[in-house]
Amino acid sequence: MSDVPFLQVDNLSKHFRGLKAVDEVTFQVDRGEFLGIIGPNGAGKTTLFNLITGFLKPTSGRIHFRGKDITGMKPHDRVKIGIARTFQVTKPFKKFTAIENVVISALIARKHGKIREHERDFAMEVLEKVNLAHRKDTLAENLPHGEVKKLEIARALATKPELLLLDEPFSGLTGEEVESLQEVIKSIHEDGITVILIEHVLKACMALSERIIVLNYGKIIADGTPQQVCMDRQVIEAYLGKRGLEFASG
Amino acid sequence: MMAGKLSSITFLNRKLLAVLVYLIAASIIPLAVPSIYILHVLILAHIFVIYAASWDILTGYTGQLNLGHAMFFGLSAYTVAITNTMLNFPLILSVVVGVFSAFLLSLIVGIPCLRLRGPYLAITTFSFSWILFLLASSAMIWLSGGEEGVRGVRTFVVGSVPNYYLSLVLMIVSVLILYRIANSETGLILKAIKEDEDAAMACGINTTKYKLLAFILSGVFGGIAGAFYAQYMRIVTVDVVTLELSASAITFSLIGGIGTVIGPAIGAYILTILFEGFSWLADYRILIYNLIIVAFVLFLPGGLMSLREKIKAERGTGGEEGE
Amino acid sequence: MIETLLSLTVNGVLIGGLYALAALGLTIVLGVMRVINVSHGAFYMLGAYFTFLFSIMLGFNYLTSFILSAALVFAIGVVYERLLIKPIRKEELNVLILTFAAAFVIEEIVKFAFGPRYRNIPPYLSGTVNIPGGSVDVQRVLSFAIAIAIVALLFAVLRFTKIGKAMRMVAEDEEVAGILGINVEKVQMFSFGFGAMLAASAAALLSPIYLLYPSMGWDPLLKAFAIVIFGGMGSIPGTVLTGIIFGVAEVLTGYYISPTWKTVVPFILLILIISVKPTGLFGEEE
Repeated sequence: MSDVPFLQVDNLSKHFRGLKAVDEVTFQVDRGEFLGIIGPNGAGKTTLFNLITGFLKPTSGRIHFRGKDITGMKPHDRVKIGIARTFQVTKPFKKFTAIENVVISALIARKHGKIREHERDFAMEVLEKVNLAHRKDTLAENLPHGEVKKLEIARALATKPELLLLDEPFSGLTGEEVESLQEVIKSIHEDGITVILIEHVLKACMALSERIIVLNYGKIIADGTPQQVCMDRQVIEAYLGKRGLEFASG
Repeated sequence: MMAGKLSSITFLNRKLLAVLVYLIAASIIPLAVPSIYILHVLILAHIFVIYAASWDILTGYTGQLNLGHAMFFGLSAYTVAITNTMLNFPLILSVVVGVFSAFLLSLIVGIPCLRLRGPYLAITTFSFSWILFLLASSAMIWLSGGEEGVRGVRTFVVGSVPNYYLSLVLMIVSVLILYRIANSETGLILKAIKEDEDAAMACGINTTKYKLLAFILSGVFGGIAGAFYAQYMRIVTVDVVTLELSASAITFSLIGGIGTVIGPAIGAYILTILFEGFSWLADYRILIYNLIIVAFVLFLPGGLMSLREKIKAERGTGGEEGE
Repeated sequence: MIETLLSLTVNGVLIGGLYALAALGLTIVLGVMRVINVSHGAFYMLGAYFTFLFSIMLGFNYLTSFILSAALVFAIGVVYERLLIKPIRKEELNVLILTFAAAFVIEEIVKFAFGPRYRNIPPYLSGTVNIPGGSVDVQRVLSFAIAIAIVALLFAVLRFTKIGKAMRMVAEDEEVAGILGINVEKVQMFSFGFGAMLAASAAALLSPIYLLYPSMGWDPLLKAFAIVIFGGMGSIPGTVLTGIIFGVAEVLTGYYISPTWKTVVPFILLILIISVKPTGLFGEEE
């Protein structure tokens, strides 16, 4: 059993009207890993997420999760088997309070037999985990951007995932908010959840990730530790540019 | 903490009290007001309450924009009338078949609509009901009787008073069921789908299943209203599939408060009575009626149900300014 | 046999072109504002009645009447957008309800102003052109030609003018357009007026062919809805092509099956395509 990879992506492609948004991408993720995915705008990062979570159907290629072929599976079924996600453009249930947002996921998790306790208690625990407990009765539409980002993560966590995909959780946050969220994500990973993180805020991504994949024009151009990736010439040229060079050497 | 709890209890009691007062008033009306016309208007109001509340489950709760709700009402009404008069089905069987036809229609409409969002869904539901209207008003007159309609439908009970009570009971039971569903876990899930379908999926909700459930509930209760209408009116004409009837599901709900089940019910009750009551306005009635709707959309989009909160909010800000 | 088919098709294309024109206004409003305008049919009706007002009641010539009524409906559309749509544009359902109710308000006002009975604008051109298998009215050919000219003009406006480019950018991404310094609200106001004007033009062109009555706007409205969705929302070529497909399908059904079924056909076609391809014929995948 142990040689079955946790997440296996094989030759995955997604074409939009001739444009290859994701092009023959192959990689594996081990259980408990923290994988960062970086790349310039339009490199296909979010499309890749949408394929893994089932929000888009691939043009070709296969996805296996814990040995099971999930390529044709619906998003909610993937949640059921333990894949959760957040959205780059946040999608809170605006007219719901913070806790109600999380209760929805918890409710489904209870129906799936993943939690035994009352979903409200569980939702409260999750809110505490992301430091939002004090906001539980605030309507999501009244939360500041940084807290909406946390709420999204809480909602994903309440599905009791084994694999958590975070789509640019740091975008638009202030320096302080980034640090606080970084701690939250770190502790989620320490709880044993495998994390895949798409990020533009390179510093946070580099600090958190054990391994980094670089996408460019829908293809993987580098795959290695943050240090290795930073030294990779192709990456520096394609994406990091001059600043990356400084970053790598400094 | 204590005070909060106490006030919520009195609030609950107040709501309960209002329901009780209404029930008592509703039960003695036929004894107090022996006017056949008034009872007729109230029976129609009862029917439209079910009709509006059933629309609200799909659109108000689940956010699936249905612009053609009359199709469920109308198909069921026609099916009852046609099977009862032309095929000589016993009335109870006709009603069952009628509601079943609305159920089938909810699947026929619902399944292709599951993949549609926003304007696509709105216009497709619109189209389904428009097809039904065109069939009834011209293409299939041999079956629908056109303007003349299908006449001679049998009725469960004869007379205004028995029909009044029957409709009252049917309304209470239907609204209660819809209200219970809306305020259950299922209702919360439906609301999440309305708020954001992608996010709902990401929470693990099988949105397809729940949307279809909402379609079915909405269609079946719309069909129940239509079936009752057919046996009460004893004649079914194209009125039951018009755009105006589809629009009134929306109007009733808007005036009462969309997404609350009770709001649309109250809206249907008040507007049906008002519309009949304003018949002295004659030619100006439609104009005034629609001006009221425009005003509501612009100034009170949450409907009557939001009035309380709105007043409270305004008082609240007033108080703060005072401090 | 084949000649009859040809003649029917020509007649279908002629009517379809005008359907396309009416639907284009809806497409533009939908594309630029993401608003379903149920009052679109009312603007159509207004276009016909204003043409009647200027040409029959006030005695202007047809062309002047056409231009005046199009301009007047444009102005009404702009005011309508400012007063009614702008405050609630983000609330999809509220816009629907409001434009629905407002359509009835406009219809009632017209009913009071012009009376509920049928009105008729006589064709300003008579005669027919013979084609294999039958004939077509000169009036219809001319109306179609003007419709095509307007569609061509619309293409040119969208492609080459400043306002056209701004409209396309707002349709593409409102936020980005705003950042790039486009006055989004102004563009939307203009687009709405423009959409109303297109509906009015179609009606003005059809008015010598069809009768006028206050509720005449609903049928073209629903047809325009079907066309817009069938063609793929926001796609102008899709809208034009679908208008013509619907026109032909209607005429053929009317001849070969039954006149009472012809109005049903577009909607059946719509439901068929939407079941197969939810984004319509030319619609983009999400």
